[in-house]
Amino acid sequence: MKVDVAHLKRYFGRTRAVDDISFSFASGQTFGFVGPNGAGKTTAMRILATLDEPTDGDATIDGVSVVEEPERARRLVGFVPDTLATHHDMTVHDYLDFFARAYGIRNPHRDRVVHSVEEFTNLLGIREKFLNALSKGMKQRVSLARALVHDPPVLIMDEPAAGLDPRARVELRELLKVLSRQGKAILISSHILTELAEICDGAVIIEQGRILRAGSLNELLHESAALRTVIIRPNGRGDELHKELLEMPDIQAVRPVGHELEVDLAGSDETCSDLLTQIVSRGYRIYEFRQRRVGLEQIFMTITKGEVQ
Amino acid sequence: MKALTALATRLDNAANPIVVKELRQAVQGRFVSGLLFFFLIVQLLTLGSFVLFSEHVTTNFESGRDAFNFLLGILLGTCIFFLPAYVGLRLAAERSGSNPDLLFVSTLTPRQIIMGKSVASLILVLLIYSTCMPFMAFTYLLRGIDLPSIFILLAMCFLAIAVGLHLAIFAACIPCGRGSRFLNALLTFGALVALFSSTLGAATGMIQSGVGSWINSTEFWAGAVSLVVLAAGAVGLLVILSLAMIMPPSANRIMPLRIYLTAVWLIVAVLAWYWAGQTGDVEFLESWLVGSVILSGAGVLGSVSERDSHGPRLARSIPRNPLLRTGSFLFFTGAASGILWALLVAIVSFLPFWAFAGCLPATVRRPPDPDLLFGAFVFSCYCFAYALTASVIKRAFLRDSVLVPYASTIALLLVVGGSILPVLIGYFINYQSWYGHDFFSYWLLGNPFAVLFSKPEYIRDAAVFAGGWAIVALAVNVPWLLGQVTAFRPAVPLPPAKPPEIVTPAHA
Repeated sequence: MKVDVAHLKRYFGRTRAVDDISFSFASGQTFGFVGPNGAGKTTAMRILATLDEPTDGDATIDGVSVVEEPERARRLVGFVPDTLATHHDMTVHDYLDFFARAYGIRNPHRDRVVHSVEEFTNLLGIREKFLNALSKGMKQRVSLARALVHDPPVLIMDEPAAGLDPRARVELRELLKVLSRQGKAILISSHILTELAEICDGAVIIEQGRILRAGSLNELLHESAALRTVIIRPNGRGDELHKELLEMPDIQAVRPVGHELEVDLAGSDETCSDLLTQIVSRGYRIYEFRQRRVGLEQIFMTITKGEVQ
Repeated sequence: MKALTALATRLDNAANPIVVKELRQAVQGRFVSGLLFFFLIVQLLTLGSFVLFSEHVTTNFESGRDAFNFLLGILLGTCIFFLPAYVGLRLAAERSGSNPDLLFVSTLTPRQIIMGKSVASLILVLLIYSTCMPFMAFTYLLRGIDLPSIFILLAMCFLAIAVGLHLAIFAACIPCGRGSRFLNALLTFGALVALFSSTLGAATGMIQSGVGSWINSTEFWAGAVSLVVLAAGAVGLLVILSLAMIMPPSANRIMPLRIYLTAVWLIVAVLAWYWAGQTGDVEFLESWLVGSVILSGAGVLGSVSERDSHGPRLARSIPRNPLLRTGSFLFFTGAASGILWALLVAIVSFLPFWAFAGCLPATVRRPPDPDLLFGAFVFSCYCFAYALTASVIKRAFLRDSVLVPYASTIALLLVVGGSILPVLIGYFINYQSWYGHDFFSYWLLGNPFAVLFSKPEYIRDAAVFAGGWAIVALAVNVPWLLGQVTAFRPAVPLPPAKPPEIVTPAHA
């Protein structure tokens, strides 16, 4: 099972909400879809979920086009929107039962499916509650349960963690890990990049409708490794070391932070190793010398400008 | 017991999910139960007042009729305004972009959605009827109205309510922005007001004329059948239009509509011909012709807004058999197929009157009105001339700047411009002698509606003008039309894809 997005475009008048984006992800992979507000994430996800039509381009799910065969594509996709709209006079169980019916699941199988989904998403205790009486976290769980009713191989989740309390967020993260282990291909957008980094195998970074970077997390981190930050904690003579570091060829910037120095350095792991050798050879005693790992958040901050159209 | 359970399960599985959802929401909500209680209270109070407080209840022989009239007004008002508003607003909310989950993320087909909404809303009407009918039947005991009249009028109102509900469903399906949503609601409300007033007016007239007493006459059944056919036709058209609105753009959205319209058009033609043979009246045939002209005119003006190319989805459904393919071309979505379909409708509509005039049933009392035929023909020419010109303008000059769905707008702008600009120019040129001018009418030649009100001499000139223009516009479009027909080829078949299976989730 593979999801291929090919040259997808969606224009609203002169606004290019999605401008020629292409990427792919496969079963068992969780991909983060990252970008500032108004970057085009929701539009692209709605197209993948067959809720919107692209101006040009296409996306296929296991070879099924979301433009040409939206009905077949819907069987393969579970879409979790950023908010569960308020449906009046409908209980959680009725809501899930409706979708099970809508996907053609027949009884007595249907009752079992709905029960198992309620159990998996921890909704059994609130199945008779009305949807409009639920909290944000509960609604997100209902939304996820609805997306899982027909056991789709692909899950598209638009900001599922937005507005959730820490406990609900942890629960959602664990659910996603389980789903990923079950072999589902998951595309998830979120602004909580630290959490996204924990569950994602890869990410697509998008701004103003265009993809800035896409690939596995390792690839992204590797690409961003040309500029690295080293933390040095010297045993005294900090000011002296600060001055000497600034005169060295690969050093971009040095910032004193308490008793430590944060050094931005252009180069590879070898350059870091050379730097340590030089410092020690100049007679400085070092308590600590470590590279700070670049995270998704830093990559995001480095390559996006926060501009909207 | 097991058999009963199995039957219940089978029925449950066969039920439309939308109907189940709608009825569950109706039962759990306050609107419907509130409405039912409201009806019970109003009817109890109304009938109670008539019985208890009417001074001449024993001598007044019209109490029942008055009470029935009052209750019918409330029933109609509720079912033609509140119920369509309830159904339409809910559907519009479910269709809005901010509310995508309920209808469009699942594999429910457009047909299931529309039929589900339709059936559920009609069940609500029956629910309301079930609270009203006992009280309305009771008015018979108050005198002034008979039981057949009561049931005939309730049946007639049910038809009107069904039309109103489907109008609301159709209006809710039209994709529109915030501004046009208001206009859409306003137009729908206007149509519902017209439906309410005409139904109530007809019902009052029928009560006063004692409709129950005609039940054995042919006229009654002819009228009743006509009404049922008319209402069923309107409901069918609204359902088909609603379906077309919610089908994915890549689908053959126009096919159900064209098949439906063609079928209705042919059935009415046969009925009109039969009627002319039986009664000798050609009015029905003439009405059919006028309807055909409107159908082909609207068809060609709407068709230019359809796309010029077929996507892979449509290409896959094009028949491989050349004969079938030729016939199906007219029913596939596309500007060229729409223009040719409208042209065929127009030609076939006029043909019996001119080519086969001698074949009209021998019993007809008079031949069809030649002025009407000629006027209809000229109007038809105008429709084709404007639409085909818009199609050329769109393709030749505005291909990149105007979206395909707005090509009809170009045609309508041409109609408006062609109707108004020449008159304004003529007025300014002949300012001094405008009203006494001999060639006043020539400035109206661009106005297709002028043929409806003008003298035969003018219509002859208009025929030359519009006919010539339509022929030139058609000739200019011929290469493109032929190209479209040639390009109507089935896609190369792909290996059949295995449909995804629905299984119990792995976490179960």
